[in-house]
Order: sequence, then C-alpha cells, then structure tokens
Amino acid sequence: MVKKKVQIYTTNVCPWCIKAKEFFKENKISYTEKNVQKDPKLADELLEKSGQMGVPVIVIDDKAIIGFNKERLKKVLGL
Amino acid sequence: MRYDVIIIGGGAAGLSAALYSARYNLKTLIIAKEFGGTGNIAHKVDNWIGEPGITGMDLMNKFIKHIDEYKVSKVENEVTNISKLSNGYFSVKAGKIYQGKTIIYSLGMKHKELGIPGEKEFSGKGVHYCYTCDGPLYKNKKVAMVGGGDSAGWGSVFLSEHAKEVYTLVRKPVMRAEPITVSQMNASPKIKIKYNTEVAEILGEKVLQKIRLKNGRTIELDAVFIEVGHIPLSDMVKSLRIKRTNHRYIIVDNNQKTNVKGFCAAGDITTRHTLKQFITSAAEGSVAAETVYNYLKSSKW
Repeated sequence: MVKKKVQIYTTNVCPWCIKAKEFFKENKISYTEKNVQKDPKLADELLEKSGQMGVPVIVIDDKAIIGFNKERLKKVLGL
Repeated sequence: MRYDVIIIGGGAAGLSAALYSARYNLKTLIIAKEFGGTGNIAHKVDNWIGEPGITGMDLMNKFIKHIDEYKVSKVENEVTNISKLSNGYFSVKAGKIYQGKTIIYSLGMKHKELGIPGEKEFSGKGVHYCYTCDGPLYKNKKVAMVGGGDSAGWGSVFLSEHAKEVYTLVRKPVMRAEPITVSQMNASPKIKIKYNTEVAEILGEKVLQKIRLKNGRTIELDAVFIEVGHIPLSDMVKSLRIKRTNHRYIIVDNNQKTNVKGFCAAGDITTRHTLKQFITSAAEGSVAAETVYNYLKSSKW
C-alpha cells in the first residue's frame, strides 16, 4: 500500500488529467483532485508549486511532477 | 516471443491493424507507449462517422475495448529499436525483445515546435501545446493560437469558450482548416484571425507576457497555444533503409507496403493520404493487416 499524499491539478476535459486519475485508481492510490478550472484561485498555487501554468501537475508529498509521465510516477511511487 | 505481426503504435492505425490482424487469425502483438496515442487529445471528434461529438479519448477507449475482445497481446512500453535478424524475423526492443515475421509501423507524429526564442523558456508558463488541457486556465484572458490547420481551427473555437479574446495567427494568407471550422471561427466575436502573421519571439518574466511578430509589432497576451503541424516519428526505421520523404513520411504503396519486405506502415506517418484523420488512419491499418496476411500466406511482396 502506497502511503503518500497525492494531489492532482486538473481541468475538466484535459485528456492527460483523466489518464492520470485512471492511473491512480488502477493502482488503488488515493488522491485529492484540485480542479483549477472550477476554482481559478488554485492557479496561483499551481504556479507556486510547479512553476507551471499547465496541467496535469501531480504533487506527491512535496515533489511536483509535470505532465502525465507513467514511468516517472512508478519510480516516485515505488511501483 | 515470436509473432506473425508486431504492430508498433497504439493510435487509430495501430489499433485498427490489430483488430484486422486478429480477425485474420494472425498471432498479433501491439506495442505502444500510450494506447490511444495522440487520438486521446482531440476534445471533440466530429468527423468519425456514426459518433458525432465523441471525444478522442472515448473513441480510442472504444477501439481498445474492441481489440481486447479479440485478446490481442498488448505491451505498454516505448519501442527503442527495430532490426532485421538473420533468421528473417524483425527484432523489436521495447524493454524486452520481441520477434515478428512482419511489422506494421504506425507510430504517428509528434507536435512541431515553432523553434523561436522564448518558446522553450516559457513552455508551460504561457506557451502551451495542449489546448484541451491548459485552455481553461485562461478564463477571461487574452490568448493566441498559432497555426492554420484543423487543430488550430478547433483549438481557437475551444479557447473562445474560455478566453476573453483569441487571436489566431496564420502564417499563410488562408486557413487550411475545414471550411465548417473557419465559419465557426468567423462567427465568433471573440476570435480574430490574423493572416500573413508570424511570431518571431516570446517575451515575459516569470511567465509569458507578450509576443513579438516578424513585422516588429508586439501583442500583449496571457498565453500562446501552438498547433503548427507535426513531425512523423520515423527516425527509427532509418537503419532498416526504409524509404522516406524529405519531411520524414514513410513512403508506402496502395497496400501500405514499404520498400522492405514484410514491413508495412500505416496512419499519419505515411505518404498515402494527405488527409490525416481517424478514418484514414484506421483504413490504412486495416489494409496493412490484409497485406501482411497475404504476404505470410504467399511469401510474395
């Protein structure tokens, strides 16, 4: 069981955000979704944490991973 | 493991090739880094007949589900090398090594960049290549779409649903996008199409703030989305001496055959169609499967 704090910054129809969420569901790892489209105030937080104005950004504990990169996620999560 | 056919690439062409290969009872393996490929990105596919308004991802998921019904072997990994062995098989490296009597190569294309100063620096900080992902972050902002093809057209319409103002910057005096899309763009009070316009530089501090055009004018903006076409991902076939055009498209005949025996190519990556769509890719994939089936039966290329 992976016990890490996972946050996924998303927008509504972003295909890679959907793929990222599917990845965490498949691996039974819980996450908090931060939808920047629904709550535009999160954009500042996103920029601060990742230096990015793009989604998805996946923050695992304090590490921000830009985009949906399955191989990197597996490494960081130890899968 | 040895296969009758190894399909490289999991987009519309590869998945269609997999379905037909399975129906021809060929021992089939399909390898893709990401099943669905760039087809996943299309926010709305209005030209796949029978499925108006379906998203690219939903359409690709249907394709994947369909080949899963035929229990086609799938490997999710990146292909890093293809070579020809002395036993006549092709060797495909994707983590492990797989051997195939034939290959259907359908890796598609990658996004082209503008290659101008500031583009890399502000990538993800105002310069974006996925409008469906990042467009909604610019609600009520001023953005630009660079490009004149279908993706730039659809992207401009998508962006106009979120942004306050959308400049579509087209290098040529006309747009190549489908007329129905251009009509939608012209009907939108938010979209301004600027023809004969090229971006020279992207400027900003922490994030993008403005762009400079080749004519020297600057435009203050919050974001620039880039849809200036694609580059075929065909460099891997160079060592097999497969013929390509100067623009790296793989040269095929009407049966998807390349100049190398047992090696077919299908989809956006080939010279067969200038219309690069789900429907043409899927069609090429099915033809390629028939070609390898006939070849395996007759040994004639």
